[in-house]
Amino acid sequence: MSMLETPINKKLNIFLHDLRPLEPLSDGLLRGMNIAVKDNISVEGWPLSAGSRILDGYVAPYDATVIRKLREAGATLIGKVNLDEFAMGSSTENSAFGPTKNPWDIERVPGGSSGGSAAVIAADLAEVSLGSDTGGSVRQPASFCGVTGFKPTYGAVSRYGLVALASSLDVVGPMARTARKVEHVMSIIAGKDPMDQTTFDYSYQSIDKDISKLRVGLPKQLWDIEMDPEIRASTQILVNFFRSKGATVEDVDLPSLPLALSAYYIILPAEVSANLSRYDGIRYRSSEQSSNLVERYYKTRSKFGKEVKRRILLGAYALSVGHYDAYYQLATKVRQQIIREHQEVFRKVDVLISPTTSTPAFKMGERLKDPVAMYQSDLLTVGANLAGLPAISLPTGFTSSNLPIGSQIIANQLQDNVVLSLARQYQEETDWHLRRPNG
Amino acid sequence: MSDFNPGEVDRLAELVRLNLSDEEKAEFSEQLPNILNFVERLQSAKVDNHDQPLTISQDSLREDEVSGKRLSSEQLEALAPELRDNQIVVPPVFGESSDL
Repeated sequence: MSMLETPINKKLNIFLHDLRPLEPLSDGLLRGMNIAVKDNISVEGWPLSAGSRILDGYVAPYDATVIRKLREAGATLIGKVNLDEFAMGSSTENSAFGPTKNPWDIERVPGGSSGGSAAVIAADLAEVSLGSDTGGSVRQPASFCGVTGFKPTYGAVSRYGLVALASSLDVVGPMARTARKVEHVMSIIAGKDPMDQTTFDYSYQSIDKDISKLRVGLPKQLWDIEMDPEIRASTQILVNFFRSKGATVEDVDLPSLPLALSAYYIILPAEVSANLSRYDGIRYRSSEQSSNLVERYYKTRSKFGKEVKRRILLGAYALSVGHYDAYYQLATKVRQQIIREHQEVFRKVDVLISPTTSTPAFKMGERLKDPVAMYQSDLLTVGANLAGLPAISLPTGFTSSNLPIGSQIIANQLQDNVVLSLARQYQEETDWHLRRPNG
Repeated sequence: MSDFNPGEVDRLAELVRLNLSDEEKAEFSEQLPNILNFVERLQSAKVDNHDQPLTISQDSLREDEVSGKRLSSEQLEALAPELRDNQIVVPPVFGESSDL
């Protein structure tokens, strides 16, 4: 049965396309697991929209590596879920197929760009989902929807079959209610892939991180920002949980972090303008009649939505003659500084903890008029993308108006199992992640 | 510092082959300088010139061999806007209006 026409989907607008579940390719560790897939990940024989009209009629001719691995491990794929167009956005309001509603409050956004992937878990319509995280697009919606969302170390999971947004930042990330389920998926999807040159030899091993020896760092630059006091208090409780079990906690300094968002909003559009030049009306089915090639490009590419156009233009500006040094080169240097500062801090601490977002889920339409206001949603999450670090958002409480709060744990590269172990242990003694929306 | 003048949006749109409506041109002419102002705080950054690798994997060129996977005729037919004799039909590259 297709999820598309169900009453709950009509209410929340999570699923795209009329699809029947895909049976697994063989038996394995994930037997019986129902997985929803963000519609920027390629599943052979299924449409792939990337939340855009420019891919109307396009059916993927191959499985992404992560999809093949999941199907070979026994998982059942139940459908494709909604996202901001080409994964650009923090609210899923930029989808050409309409916004997805937050199951906790349908007048609020589920976050983005993996809004469908987060909502599908919160609404109990899938056990696990795949999203993608380029600047926070798995963690922020996980936080807004009260579920667990993980961004692996860059290069730990293949990007083959993920629609490229910013190739130096994109990571496929699993989401579920529990870190335990996220970890099962991570153990299957991680690993070197000859089809993705940025992957490395990585065999995921689950561990039990000893909290009594844990050293926690609280980045001053992230805690100093203006944020909802209930969120600050909730993440403090997470910190105290570790402290009560013997962890040491100290403030740490990442002086270049306040520049992270600016660097991100130069690097991202620059890579986007290059990656989206492939949508030319020749390769991906959707096309417009034209008398010559250039006209074909213009007519086809007019199908992009506003945010996509905005970022392509911004990227072209940042890369063009006369601006390249002042914008893109500079942003890259700042990025390298951010990487270095994180490396130094991880000599002194094992993990960093901060809230995932500075506000709970905002109302539909609230941030649409002002792009810069929307970009602020990524403030706490982009650092981990720029530095390629593993990071998780897990539910750590609720606001007084019953909106989910998420907190973030970040570790050094390759320490994905540390992050997941800590989240698992927290979830063994709390139940925020088990709460469901009413009605 | 941003020298975002009215013609800039037009120039950029031509570079990236985007048709913009008048409404979009007006909106972007206002929004893009705001975004650039926001990212301009990078100018205050003190940066040094050490290079940090972005990827863990540093040595990963594979052999230049055909992998064997190819698109079937059916798949090509489903993907290409127009096909003739198993070849993708494209508009003329050098046409009457080739003002690039």
